Amino acid sequence: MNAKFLPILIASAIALSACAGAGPATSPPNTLTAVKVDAAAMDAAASFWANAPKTEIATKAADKSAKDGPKITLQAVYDSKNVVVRAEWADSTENTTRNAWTYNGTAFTRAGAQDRFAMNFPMGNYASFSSKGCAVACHSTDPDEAKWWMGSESPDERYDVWHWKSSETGLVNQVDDQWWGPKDTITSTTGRKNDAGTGGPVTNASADGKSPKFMNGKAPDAKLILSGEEIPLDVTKLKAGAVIPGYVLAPFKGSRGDVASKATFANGKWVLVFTRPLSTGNADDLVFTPPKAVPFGLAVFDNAGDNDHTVSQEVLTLAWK
Amino acid sequence: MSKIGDWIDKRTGLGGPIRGFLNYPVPKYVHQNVLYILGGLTLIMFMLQAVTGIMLAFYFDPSPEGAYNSVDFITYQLPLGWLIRGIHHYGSGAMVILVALHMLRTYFFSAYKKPREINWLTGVLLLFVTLAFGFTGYLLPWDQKGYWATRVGTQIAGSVPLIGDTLMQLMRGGPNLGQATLTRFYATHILLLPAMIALLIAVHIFQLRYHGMSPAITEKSKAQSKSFVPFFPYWVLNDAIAGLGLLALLVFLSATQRAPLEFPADPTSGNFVPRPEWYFLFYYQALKYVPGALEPVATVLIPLFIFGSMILLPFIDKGEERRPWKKPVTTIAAIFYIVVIIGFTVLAL
Ligand code: HEM
Repeated sequence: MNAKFLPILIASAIALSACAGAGPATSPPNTLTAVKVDAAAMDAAASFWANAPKTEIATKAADKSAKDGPKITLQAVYDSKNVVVRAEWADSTENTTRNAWTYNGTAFTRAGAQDRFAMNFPMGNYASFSSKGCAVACHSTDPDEAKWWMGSESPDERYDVWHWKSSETGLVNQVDDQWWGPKDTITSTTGRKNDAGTGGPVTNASADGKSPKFMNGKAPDAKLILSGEEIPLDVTKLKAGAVIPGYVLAPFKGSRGDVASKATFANGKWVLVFTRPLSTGNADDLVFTPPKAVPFGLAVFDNAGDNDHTVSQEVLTLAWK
Repeated sequence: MSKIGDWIDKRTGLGGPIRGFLNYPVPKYVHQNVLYILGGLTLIMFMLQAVTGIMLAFYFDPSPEGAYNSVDFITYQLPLGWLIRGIHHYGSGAMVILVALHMLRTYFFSAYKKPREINWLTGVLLLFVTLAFGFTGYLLPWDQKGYWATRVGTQIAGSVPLIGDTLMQLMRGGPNLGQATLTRFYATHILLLPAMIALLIAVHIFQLRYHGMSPAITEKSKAQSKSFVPFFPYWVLNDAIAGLGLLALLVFLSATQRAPLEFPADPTSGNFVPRPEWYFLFYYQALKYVPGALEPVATVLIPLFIFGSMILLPFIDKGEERRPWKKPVTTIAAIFYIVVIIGFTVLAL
């Protein structure tokens, strides 16, 4: 054999085949590319973010007359065990006081909402979600907005949902790990369910609903009342204008507490990092098997009650590099 | 060992033919030129496709509901499934490249000339069978790209004047893509085409042995025409080394870039841009330049012209001259095709 030809042949074959298989170096639109790192940590300032491509996702309300939501800048990294997502978005106000009580010196009023962020991942290979995105799970065509609901139409179609709530979960550095399936009953207005587990927010209200039941035993004014640290309300310790949290928080235990978070609000911007094991071992969670790309959707809730959110319009893809 | 060999030989009479096959004298100019490896390498590639294809078939579920999940399972969960599917995926591209290069070798060496016309004609059929493997295999994972490319591909067949509709229905097994289409594509991919390719390769190689290699074309190789080496181990060793190199390349590609699997096919998705596998891109691009009204003509005329001219080639170019630099018409025609195919492919990427 004329040996000098062999390297040329092999090199051209490699080049040709590589043309056929190579992917782009940066993230294509609507794609969040998680970059492999040695140790993925929940640190918004970690140096590895410099190598993780940024993807900007626009969000819009289901009600087309409502104003558009913020653009979310997403990044992700992963290691052999965990995936970490970093989300950043502009928000003019920090809202972390859902249903908080304000004391005017004589009585309490209860008000307030919270900023939230959510991602949903189909737990199987569902053709319609992966081509149309959240629209598939969003049942918002009824003229009566009260009848709109999120979820799926079949028990075989389930979504893993990570729902960060600035006051109810953010204050204990967690994300509410939930899932969507079909509605439990025809008249039910939601297919949203919680992952198995214990803990979570418990409303902080007296039996007559006119005042909080508890306050923080160490600092009456604290934003957070951690379960176990609460003491019965003692108004003599409060000044007029004091704000008492609307919930007593016990961190989620079990599958509902699989996703940890760390959030900061500064200069009109939320920076949220959250992490979950690639595989939790729980039946109500999606198992990530890099490099398998998974479709997802996201939503952001600005100081919002239940449904007021703006969402990604097209299907998004979590890819792995 | 030889006792067992004798025992088998006495009962089957295969010893003689096998010895004849292995001892076949290969001219030195063939053995020393790497370009003659291409045919054998294509054969090795086909064998790799057959082995990996059989393995994939053990896990593949040929139904629109199950196909995607089974390929997903093979790619991301089955131990070494990524490797088997990777070799099969990259192997399909490699097979097209190798068939094309091998065809160009035989073309530029004028190996199609008398008395090797049947060798060339079976080769032409092998080229089309190889492409048909690619076309039918692309649909099987039932993902977005396979589904939409097949929808467009069968639509193109549907635009053939007069018989288009029947042709499209025949391919799809009905008016739309569904279970019947998948069944037909799968049966074609794993039964019909392998049977055809095996038969064609057998005739191709029998012809080759019957006529021997086509004459040398350079003075240097002509000088080596009278000396020979036995097929085994000399040429077999060349092929084995090249085959191992090819396998290593396919393993490398499979490990660095998982064989693609897009999201599952959604027949109702409105915004998916269909695109075929890269080796069909040139044709897809060429059709873009044809005005709508002429499309049916182009879908028939372009392939028919290419196929027809390949079939007729040995009967048109009958002269004695075999050196490409002395045959400007065939040489320029081939260069023209190469440039157009590469150019259109690049434009379509
Ligand atoms: C599955 C596809 C194919 C296989 C496995 C195959 C295999 C082979 C092998 C092993 C040889 C001898 C070594 C060599 O010349 O490289 C050969 C020779 C030949 N092949 Fe193919 N081939 C295939 C496709 C084609 C195609 C597409 C053409 C042309 C359209 C073609 C035309 C020829 C000719 C004319 C020869 C004789 C070469 C000579 O005498 O110099 N083959 N083929």
